[in-house]
Amino acid sequence: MSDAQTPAADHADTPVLGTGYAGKARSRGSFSAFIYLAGPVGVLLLFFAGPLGILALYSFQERSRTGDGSWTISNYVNALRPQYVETALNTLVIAVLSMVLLLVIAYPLAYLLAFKVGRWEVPLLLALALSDELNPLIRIYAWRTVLGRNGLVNTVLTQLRLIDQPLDWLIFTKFAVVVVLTASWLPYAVIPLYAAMKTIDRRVLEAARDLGAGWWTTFRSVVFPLTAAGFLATIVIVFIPIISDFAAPALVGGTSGRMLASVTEDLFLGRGEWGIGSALTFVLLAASGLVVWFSYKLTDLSRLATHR
Amino acid sequence: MTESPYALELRNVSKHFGDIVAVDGIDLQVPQGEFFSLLGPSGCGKTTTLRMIAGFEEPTEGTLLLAGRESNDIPPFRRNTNLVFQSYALFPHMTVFENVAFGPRRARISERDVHKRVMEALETVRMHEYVDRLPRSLSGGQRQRVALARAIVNRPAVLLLDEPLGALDLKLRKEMQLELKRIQREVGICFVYVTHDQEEAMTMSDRLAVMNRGRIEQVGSPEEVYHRPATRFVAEFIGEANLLDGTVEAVEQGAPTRVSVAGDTVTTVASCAGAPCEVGDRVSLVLRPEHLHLHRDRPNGVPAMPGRVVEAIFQGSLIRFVIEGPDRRRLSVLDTTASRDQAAPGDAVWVSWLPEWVHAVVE
Repeated sequence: MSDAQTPAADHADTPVLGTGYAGKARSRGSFSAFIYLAGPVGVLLLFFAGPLGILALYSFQERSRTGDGSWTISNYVNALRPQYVETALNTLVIAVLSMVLLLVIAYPLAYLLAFKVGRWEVPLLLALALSDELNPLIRIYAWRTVLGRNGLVNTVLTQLRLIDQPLDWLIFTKFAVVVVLTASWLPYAVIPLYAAMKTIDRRVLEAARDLGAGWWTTFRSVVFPLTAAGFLATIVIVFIPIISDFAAPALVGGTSGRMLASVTEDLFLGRGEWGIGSALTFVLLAASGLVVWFSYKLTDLSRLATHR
Repeated sequence: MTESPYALELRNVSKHFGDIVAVDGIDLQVPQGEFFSLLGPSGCGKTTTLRMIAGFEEPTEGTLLLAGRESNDIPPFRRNTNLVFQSYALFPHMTVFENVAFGPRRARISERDVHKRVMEALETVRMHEYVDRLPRSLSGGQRQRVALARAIVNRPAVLLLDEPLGALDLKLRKEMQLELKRIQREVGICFVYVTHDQEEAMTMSDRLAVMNRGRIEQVGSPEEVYHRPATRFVAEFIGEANLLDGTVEAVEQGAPTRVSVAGDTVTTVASCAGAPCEVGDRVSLVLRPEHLHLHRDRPNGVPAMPGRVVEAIFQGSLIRFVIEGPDRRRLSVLDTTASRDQAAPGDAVWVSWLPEWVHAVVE
């Protein structure tokens, strides 16, 4: 029997990432592509790669502030001092916790937005986008009034006689930093996941249910692999700003909620230790890179997971 | 659990969406192993009925039984039904093998048995050479086969098909109709097939239900529904019909023995499948084009009506005549092209029919 139809020209189920544009650009000639890219690439080189290169030089110099020191790796050795290692671990714990919490909240939210809310989809998306329009500093101060010793949560709990003493772990702790970071970055986690969900045919989810899959199996073997691109995008977009945040730890973190970026800031602006500051910057960069690489591997593995 | 002769039973099932009544109190019994079709125009409630059987919609009223067991509240993933979607809904990130293995892997059976059953199902649909392909590299017809294998591999009590051939081109659709029928006979599973294409339903079904506006108009074999339509809607929806309005003048055992049509110029006997007829009832006589015959002169012993040939359309093995009768009523007549003496446009003719082919539906 002959199935002579042309395969798949009408189906948009090809992966979203990185397909299809290279050929077009080449046919139009590389000169125009060069013109298009010259601006953005130039700006990136001048204001991003350039300063980063200078920081790299600082991190390998003895007296880096004036730049006349000799070459050394002592800054990196110093970066391994217990106080910095502790802060680095603290940073990792806070960032990973916030990231996991974000994904746990964002995945169901994106799913509901994409498939369940019907005509409320656009208003809710707008609300989500609007919630990000608040100035980040004001947002953090708002959280201080919620979590503070005499803040909203403590007041309400005391009034309801659920507690005698105000809870002292609500603010100036890791907990506070995780709450503030999670709340601040939620829109950025939901939107890429929502966009990835929208590419899933609703019937495919029904097919999974019809074939005997409960919600967890459906998520693990259908939704997650099909939203892998969105998952990766979310981590890249959200994890790097979270791991390098210094406002939230400075304002609600106290001593137990310290993060590497606020220490780095202090090293540069407070103590003039540019060498160690630069070294720590690269430690942070390496950590971010590692997490992004790990996430990439995870999404890649998800394609194989269904082989069992 | 008692063994039910019916794979599927609906008792007075309705479905409302807000103020809209999509399905309005239908009763249905489908025996094990039957190829059953739900046929009707779009919006008649056939897909909603199918989705209720699959478990994606819950009936507003009534009872749904699967293999004799009340199933209203059973979620789709615990139901012994499987659905083949119109859009196939294959998992785009899985190979053909993984797609078909999805259902068996949910049941707790060994990977070896999974492999065996998947290969069996893929052989049934003749796709076993494509195990490692991804859906996007398959043609529409091939995807359809994989979707079918993915459903039959679970050996459901009822296999539900939602216009599965709708997206295929005509030639492929004809081939797949015969394939589906073969596969159904081979696996012996009860198929419930939703379609708006009456020819498709006629080709494959053991029995079919004609639906209109959320109700079932008639249930029967393709022959019954074609030759003895219960309502005017069924007569018009199934095949081509000439409908002549008439009045019942005499009745015997519920069937009209004399009906006058065309202003009392013609009388005929007729059978009647719907409600029994009474004298004075307004009825429509259903005359299929292939049951009408043309004559140059008035024929004797059979009911006949005068007319004029408006058009003669050559269709290969058949020729179609459009005849204008009394009251400017138009009749369609099909005749074989075997005879040499064919009428031509403008000719005055007589249209006759054999009384046993005439069927009346009450207005």
